[in-house]
Amino acid sequence: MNCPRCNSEVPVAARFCHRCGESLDPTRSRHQHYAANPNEPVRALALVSTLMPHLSGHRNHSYRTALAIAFVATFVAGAFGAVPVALFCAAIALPTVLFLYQYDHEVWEDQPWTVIGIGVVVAAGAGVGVGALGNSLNDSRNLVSGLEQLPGASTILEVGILIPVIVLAILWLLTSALTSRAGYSHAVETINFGALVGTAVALGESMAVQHNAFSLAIHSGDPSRDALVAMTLGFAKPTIYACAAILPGLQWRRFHSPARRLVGVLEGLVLVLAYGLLALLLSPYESRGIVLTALIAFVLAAAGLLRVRVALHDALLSEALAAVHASESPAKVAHPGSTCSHCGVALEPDAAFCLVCGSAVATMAKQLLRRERSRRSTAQEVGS
Amino acid sequence: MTPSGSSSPAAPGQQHFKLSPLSIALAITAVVVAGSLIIYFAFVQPANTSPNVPSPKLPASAAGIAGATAPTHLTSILRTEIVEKSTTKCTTTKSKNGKKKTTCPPSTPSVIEPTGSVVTVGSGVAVRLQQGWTVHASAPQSGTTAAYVDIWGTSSTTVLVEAPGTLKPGGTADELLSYFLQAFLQGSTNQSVTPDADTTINDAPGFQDIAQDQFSYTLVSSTGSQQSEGLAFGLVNTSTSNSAIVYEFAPISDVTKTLVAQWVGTLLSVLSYSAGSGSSGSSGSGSSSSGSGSSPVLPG
Repeated sequence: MNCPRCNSEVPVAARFCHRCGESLDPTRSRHQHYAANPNEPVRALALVSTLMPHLSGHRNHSYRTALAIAFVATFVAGAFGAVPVALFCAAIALPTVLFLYQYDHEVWEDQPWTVIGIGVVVAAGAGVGVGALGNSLNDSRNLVSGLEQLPGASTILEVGILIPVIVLAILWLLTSALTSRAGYSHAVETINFGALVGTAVALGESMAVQHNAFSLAIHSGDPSRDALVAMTLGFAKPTIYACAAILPGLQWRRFHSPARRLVGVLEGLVLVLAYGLLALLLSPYESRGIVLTALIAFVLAAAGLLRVRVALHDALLSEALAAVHASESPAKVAHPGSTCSHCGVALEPDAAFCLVCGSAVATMAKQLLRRERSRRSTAQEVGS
Repeated sequence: MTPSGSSSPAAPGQQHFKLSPLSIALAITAVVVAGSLIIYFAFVQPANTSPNVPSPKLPASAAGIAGATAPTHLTSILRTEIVEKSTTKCTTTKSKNGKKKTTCPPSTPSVIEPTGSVVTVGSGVAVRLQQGWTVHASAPQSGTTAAYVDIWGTSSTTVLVEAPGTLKPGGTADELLSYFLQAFLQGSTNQSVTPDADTTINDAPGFQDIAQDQFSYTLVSSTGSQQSEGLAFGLVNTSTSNSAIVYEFAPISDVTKTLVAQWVGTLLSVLSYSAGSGSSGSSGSGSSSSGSGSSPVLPG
């Protein structure tokens, strides 16, 4: 039996082509099986499996639970007026979970300090710098403006446009600094490190912008406002930044023409610009502005997540197909004896996808692939 | 295509990870709890709860009060309960022709004791805070979420505001107002304020506008919490001379009680978006209402 897409020979009982990932079962659309988590459709609003593509089925639940704990803690703290606590929970939640993921799955492989240094320390420091810059640009703002008065043109240019552009440049530079290193060049690594950089920059910026809320324990007296602000800063904004960090690199890999490669940059720019501008323009409208900002921020975050999922899915499938056509092995393939981390089925040697569930080998648990690789090299050494 | 038995794999998703699912949940819980405790004890716990001990000075950055920056605007709508209270005792005498005549002594611009009840919201009120300063406040209009406050200066268009001390429990109204002014002006020490044309409130004779903004800051004591007592101050209504306006702030317990109401109110405010004028006139409704002075103001 041959795959109708790449013409590779596949076992008769296969549901997906192990070389190009194409669905071989007419009743199963490939779009219903995300390459990084075949239990979800490609277009699904799933934060965990999108920003942490190496997670397998059971691990997804653990990380979702961890995020849910932080989310509930944020909501409860904000709703009861403990703004500093709510802000802290919100700000630290995503970076902590992503850091746990990096450690748990050995995503950083043998360069943990490089990843921590660039992806966490430098990124958070850059975020603090952006926040401080925003604060200084804002110092002269609002002083005399009344309720429901839009900010001036210079404020819009500085705070609404310049700051987001600087943010995007930082996100792109730091993510590229990591993904340009040996061993981190795969599309999946763009997501791993883009997410880490994006959340760290958002953390640093939020801490700088909101430093008075920590140092003075100021709260509005309206718990719904505080909770919404905390959740927007802690969950929506880091997700937007993470997607803006990921998309330029991911789309750059996905397309070959220079014009189309800029699509990712534009998408990232749209995300951070839209968030920055809307937050600024809605700020004079107090409670209504906060509610609308939160709603729009979560919509932007959702749109960013969907774009990332589609881009990664298509990149994995197109890369595998290109490798088949070039008679080469994809960048990451299964080693003999390794099993799928989603369904537990033995993987075909040099497979790019699981035959049964369709998950991409490149997104499977990293340490599993590394162990298989080292086990094979050890066996070869013993044999020789 | 059966699960590989030769390499005795673990169950899918459980392959030799460094952390167990339980430890992941515990790790994030530990970070959240530990961080919250640190934040709480470092910032929220009272640094000085004694009303008799001078409070520490506000840092210069305090004027930036959270949310001075645009994207987050944590600045709050100050919970205001505007009440008018008679502060002077009028005497009624009968004239020779049998007509009653009521005489009220002139009101002194002084601190009015907090009151938690009632109210007639009349026209704009003003009070002399310190030499050269006047606050002109107006009631929230229907459909808006807060009152306006107008600050006037006497002769100069540039005003220097010294950073006052922080509030402390039992602090005087002057302290509260000073703190409010600092927050209101968002200015660090000695920050100048640009004149702003006021189109909503009539200026008092001889005064000119210095700044105008929404009355939107929460007073917080040095204990880091809102005060249920002592956190109210009165303003003399110069137009009616015997009335005052009192602003009160909800204690946390009241906020908690009215949690659902505030959530509903905030969401309703979105629905009533177009209804909110954001304007504030100098003429009030003159209507009366009664109730607790610490009940929340529902936006919209």
